[in-house]
Amino acid sequence: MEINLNVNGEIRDLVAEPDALLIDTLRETLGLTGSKKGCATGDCGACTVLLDGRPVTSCLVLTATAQDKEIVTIEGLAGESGLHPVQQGFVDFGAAQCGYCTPGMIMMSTALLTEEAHPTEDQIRDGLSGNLCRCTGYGSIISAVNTAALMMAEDEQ
Amino acid sequence: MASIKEVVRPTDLQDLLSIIADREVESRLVAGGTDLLLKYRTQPGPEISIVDITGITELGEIIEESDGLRIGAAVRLVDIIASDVVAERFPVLAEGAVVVAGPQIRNMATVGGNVCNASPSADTIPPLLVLRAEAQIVSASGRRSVPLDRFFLGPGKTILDRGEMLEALWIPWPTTGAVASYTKLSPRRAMDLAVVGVAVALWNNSGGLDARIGLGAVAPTPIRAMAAEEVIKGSVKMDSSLATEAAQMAAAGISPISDVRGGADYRKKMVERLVTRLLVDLGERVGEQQEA
Repeated sequence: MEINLNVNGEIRDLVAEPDALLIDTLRETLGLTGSKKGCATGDCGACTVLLDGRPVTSCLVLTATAQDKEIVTIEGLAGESGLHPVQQGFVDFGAAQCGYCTPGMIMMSTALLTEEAHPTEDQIRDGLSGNLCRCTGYGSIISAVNTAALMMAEDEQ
Repeated sequence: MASIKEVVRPTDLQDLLSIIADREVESRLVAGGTDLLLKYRTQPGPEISIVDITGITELGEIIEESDGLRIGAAVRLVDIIASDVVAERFPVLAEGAVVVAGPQIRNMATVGGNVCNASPSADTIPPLLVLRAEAQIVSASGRRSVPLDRFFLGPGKTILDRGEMLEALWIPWPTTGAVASYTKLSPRRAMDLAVVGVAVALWNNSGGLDARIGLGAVAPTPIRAMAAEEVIKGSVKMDSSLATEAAQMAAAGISPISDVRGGADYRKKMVERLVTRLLVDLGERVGEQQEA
């Protein structure tokens, strides 16, 4: 079926099977391989993208139902002035080991900070409870998100 | 593997109802899709047409009516959690919604989907059972309403006939002073299913105390512990001996399975403990009935 998707602010026309999953369309059809396919059952969070501003696991979204929604992937996060503060936080804290969970972690954290500008550590842990890191680098991930929150608060001033 | 041959996205309820009334096409309703997409993509089945119901505005609405709250079938769990009226009048429903899976899933999954998927361990169902929820069902030929405790037939099976869909869940406004709470027992706080789920509502009426107890993951469907409710009915005051007596009755009335999440004996013990604990806690909070 013919589909047009709004991905990172661009309208992309494409053809997809009715049962195509958004994660596969993003990666295979559009070449946006930043989002990772981990479990493909909605458990690991590696494929997290923003759909109309809300983080969702794109392995549980049919491409056909993502039409007329705004999709933001990890590729769409950095601005002209450089990395998003959450990305910078991950860089500064070395919060990526193998890196597979990182795009999902960053998308989820970005959404979390949009909703709660000054999260407590518990709120960060709850917010990331649907994202698994099998290198178990959670400590540095929490620190990265904390620091990003502070950086974003400074930018506000 | 079932093959998805098309995806249709009606924006009008009547259109949707005529699509599902069509007997030529095997159509399957999907809202959040978090349970169903996995199922359709991995389990054998006929060629199907997916009907996305999220384009129908009224199915996504929470409406305060004179006698109760109407929650559209496609209202997402995140909307339940964020709803002021749910927080104020039915916090137990938000307690159930917020422990489902993780944040990404709750952004898509719907309360109607959680109910229609009819998993014995669904976290929103025990709260809905103790809130006296009714399933409002619609089809091309009309509407009917069924108390939720008569909605489930077995794991994944409901009373919905072909051509019918759940339109909304309706919950009567609670009695003044009523309190309710849900406890999910699971090894992990997120992304896990309940070993057992227990919801209890407690209130006073002119004849004394009254209670509703809803249990998840202990039977082929979520169930009410009616014998335990009877123990409490009419009592003057909740105390630990009454709570224990009711909880033992609740545990005696179930025959859970043993599986990877827990043994049958463990589940019975946990039901007894959690019902006791919830009854004692709620007993301290339950208010007096006010005459209307």
